[in-house]
Amino acid sequence: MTAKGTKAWHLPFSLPTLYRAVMPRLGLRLVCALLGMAWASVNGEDAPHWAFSAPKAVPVPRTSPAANLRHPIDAFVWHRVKARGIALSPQADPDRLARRLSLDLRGLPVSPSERMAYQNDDSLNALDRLVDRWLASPFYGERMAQDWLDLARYADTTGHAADQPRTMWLFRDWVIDALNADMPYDQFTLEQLAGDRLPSASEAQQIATGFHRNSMQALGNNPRKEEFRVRGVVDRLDVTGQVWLGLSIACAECHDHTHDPISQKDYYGLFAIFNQVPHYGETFHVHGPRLTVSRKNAHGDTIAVDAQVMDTLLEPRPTFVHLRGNYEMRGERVLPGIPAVFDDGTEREWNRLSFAQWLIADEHPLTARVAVNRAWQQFFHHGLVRTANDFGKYGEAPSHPDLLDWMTRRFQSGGWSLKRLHRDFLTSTVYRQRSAFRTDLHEQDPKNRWLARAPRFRLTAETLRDQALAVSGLLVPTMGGPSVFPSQPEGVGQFRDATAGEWEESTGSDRFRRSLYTFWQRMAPHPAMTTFDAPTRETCTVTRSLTNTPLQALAMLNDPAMVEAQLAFAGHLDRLPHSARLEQAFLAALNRLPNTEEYAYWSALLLKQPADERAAILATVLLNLDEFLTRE
Amino acid sequence: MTTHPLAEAWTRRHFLGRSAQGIGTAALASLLSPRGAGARSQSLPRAKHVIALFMSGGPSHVDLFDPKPELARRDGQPIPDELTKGVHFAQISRQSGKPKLKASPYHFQKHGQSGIPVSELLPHTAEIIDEIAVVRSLHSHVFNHDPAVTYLNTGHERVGRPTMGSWLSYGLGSENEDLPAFVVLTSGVKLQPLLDNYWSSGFLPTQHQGVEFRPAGDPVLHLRRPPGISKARRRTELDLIRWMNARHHRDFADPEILTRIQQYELAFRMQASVPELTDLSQETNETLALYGARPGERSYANNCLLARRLVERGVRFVQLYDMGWDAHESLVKDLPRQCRAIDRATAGLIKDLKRRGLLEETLILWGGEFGRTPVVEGAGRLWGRDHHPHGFTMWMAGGGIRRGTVYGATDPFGFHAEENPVAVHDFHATALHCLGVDHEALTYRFQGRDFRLTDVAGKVVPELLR
Repeated sequence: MTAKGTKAWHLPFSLPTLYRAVMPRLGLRLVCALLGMAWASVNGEDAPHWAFSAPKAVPVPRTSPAANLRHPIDAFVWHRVKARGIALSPQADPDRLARRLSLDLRGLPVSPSERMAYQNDDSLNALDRLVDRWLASPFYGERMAQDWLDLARYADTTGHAADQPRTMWLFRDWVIDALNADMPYDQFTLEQLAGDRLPSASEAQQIATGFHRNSMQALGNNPRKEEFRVRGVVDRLDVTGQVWLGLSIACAECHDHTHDPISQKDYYGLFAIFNQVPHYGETFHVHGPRLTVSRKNAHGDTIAVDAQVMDTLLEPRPTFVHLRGNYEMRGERVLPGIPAVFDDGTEREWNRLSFAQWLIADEHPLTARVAVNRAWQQFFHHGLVRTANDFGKYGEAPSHPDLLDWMTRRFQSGGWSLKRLHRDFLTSTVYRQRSAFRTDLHEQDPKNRWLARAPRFRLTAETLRDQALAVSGLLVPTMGGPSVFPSQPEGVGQFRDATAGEWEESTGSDRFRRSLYTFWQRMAPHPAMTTFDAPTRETCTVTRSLTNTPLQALAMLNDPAMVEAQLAFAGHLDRLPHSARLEQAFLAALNRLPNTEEYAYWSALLLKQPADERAAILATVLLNLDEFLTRE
Repeated sequence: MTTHPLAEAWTRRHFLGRSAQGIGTAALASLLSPRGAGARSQSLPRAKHVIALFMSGGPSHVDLFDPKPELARRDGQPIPDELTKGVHFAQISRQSGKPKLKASPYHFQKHGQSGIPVSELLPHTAEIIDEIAVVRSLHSHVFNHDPAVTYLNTGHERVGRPTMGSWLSYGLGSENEDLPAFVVLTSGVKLQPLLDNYWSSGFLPTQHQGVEFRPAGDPVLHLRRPPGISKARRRTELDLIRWMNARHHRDFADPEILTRIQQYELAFRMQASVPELTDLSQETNETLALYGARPGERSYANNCLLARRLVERGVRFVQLYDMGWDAHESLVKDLPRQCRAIDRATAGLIKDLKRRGLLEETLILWGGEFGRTPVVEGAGRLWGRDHHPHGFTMWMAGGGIRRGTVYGATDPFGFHAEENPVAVHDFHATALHCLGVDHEALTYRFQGRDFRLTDVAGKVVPELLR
């Protein structure tokens, strides 16, 4: 980084003047230290890693009016692109853009009637209004929750060999509600990490702490229960590091971090903060604290549900360095604290609440930046920092550091509103570009880091299934409640512990709920999810991988659940007059009309097929197209 | 609508340039070892397939293939300082005193005509030792699992490069258009997760990524067409899908669309090929017993048998991951368990390939992401060994590999690769050579640079070749 060095070279007055001016106040040693730091940074020694300095206030670059940019975000991107002598891509056509917005914001396609509505909206900002409408849709919270639940490693079973069911869905519903209500991200952070420690914590705030009860859990009065308890704490640190600090601090469990400034002692300082949750045998003979809440079941009866929540031991549990990561080999005792690199010298008693408050302080260099980057990843496929869980020295440097800083400060000053952040992204010219590949970019920017076109990428496992259900009219949009058991191939769950129970297939409407309500069984996850790269959720996943395999083709073509959707879709098409069928099918599945070439080709081809198979062929083909599987 | 020039170039390359043999014959010829014709006239490719047996977690070289009497003599003594200078251990902290040498609790005996010593934990492998070239001097610098596995697979510790199986799928294609060119099978005790990127195609087209079969039950789900849908009707549907996708590719030029087209076609062919492939009931009881395979079970043995059936059918690269070799806590508990699970089947695979005449054309690679420390981790009854990349053992067998030989050596403590050290890139170069591929010629241009599996290094080790 040159920022520091630049400052050192451009001191507004000579060094002796500076010395006389500040010497009496600061003292010789401090001045020497400051000058030493400046010198070191000029020489490139010990320059602080960019991510450990607070985001800078950066001006929005000036642009030419001819560029016709919609948002300050665009100025940052436009500048980088222009410097390389290339242009941004033109705006995508309205149908594709509406589909992109809908899939990104709701995880669902555009319905033909919705299309009609925005087509009839003649106002200049019709697309902006669409963004606002879908940001306000309850489907938004469900779509955004999918990604957060990967971070929270939300699952409905305990993991490990036993993999027993447990009640976590209250937490899942809390996440959906919080995101739909646009709970400010600082509050969202605070409640999940320390909601139980807030003064007169509400029921919802306690349920929010289920975030860290999602750790895997070995069961019973296990002789290795202390080992498993420690593993749970390790997991909480690992997840907290990746999700809020954007750092993989896990290595420091066993040794000083080799590249980032997290020492083993720092690690156990954090460990001590998360080491205070009562465990099996302490205060109760269940696995961790519970909160009994009442909820209405599907029949409207009030039932009692045990939510998994966080709590704090009355008598603090002492924490020691675990030599070589072995909890039985105690090194020196460590008090709760944050890593020295972040220590500003303020005396504080460190616990989960003060830790969470420290994370969400405006001057924290990482929390907001990491959140903004992850949000960018949601809508642009890759973060500006591509290693969204690692802002450390082994992570990738940001492609647009100024843009990241500018957005971070805007996010913070705008009340940490995720919806506002998303709206910023979605109303930008950069977002609205076409996603077609360009020959002029292929050599120069194969990874699309400069963003001279929109990204094009396959939909998530959840969205693929939800989309098929929506298009076929099978989707049951009921929100929340206990997880459901849609059908899955026989034998898939066979490696579950016998006591974990069978996969008892749901009946009726529960088979067609959105995929985030599917029972998430860590050791044998639903294959419709894993085939399309959903994680097991044993621990947190910040960026899913994205594969393209023949197994996915088999699933889309032959999975009985997909076939059911194809047939239901075909059934709708069958009831339409012949003349309208092709158009309506395209509108429902691809959210656009067939073009002339497609129209001619299909019409001729379908005529050659047996009359009773035409609708089914049409439905099957449309639900298997790359265009259908992709957000473009 | 005019055709996008880029799209056209891609389309041509994918649909015309790629024959059933992968890239066209002319391109293939350019990959063949240029030294082959001159220096080594007999070095026409012997191997057509690879079965890579990956012992995930890191098997202990000093307890399996690299006996060290010096460890027994100095059991419990601190390790000499000069060995650990600049060495970073993953777990053994230097704060807890100087690490102590640890003798192997297992007995080694010489086997076969070659007289190569093998640990008592691998009695079946000992029987086929004359087929094997044991490389005792592998070394790398990467001491944590994920980056080390990535290094062993891609030649680079950071995620993003293609893995060896992808390189070979790209360079040589598949001999069987009805099955993926690169198949991944998994087994074992899950201590660390196996990540998708271990079989990623990196920046190569995604059609070259490994296809992971399910470890238990049906290896591939949803092979059956829905009831009432004839093969002819499915063909019609696939033709339409293909037509629409190709058309779409003309507008968007995204190479993922081409991969999608190919995966749908492959899926269609797999509906016929996979049930036949995975039907282990076709095997005789004698063969099942040779591997210790029991159809329907989740096991390394079943995977070995499936691997033979895959290469028999022309699959280019089969990679088996056996998890559970990370013996930090109790080596005497973990290592025998792991060895029991793989020993009979590994030997059975080699014997079976040999009697079917397939060993000559199949290269077998065995090893993990690193070895384990000659110094002890933990104390008392519960002791283990830490990650050890500075000197460790892998072995090779089959197509093109010299039989019954030991190459390279670690120092008397089994710590550093000392004699004839073999870097991971050398290992890769040698493996590719066995397939008739010049590791310097198999390249792919990405971001203005030609990348290859061996990065900017790699030497073929002639002593390992026949």
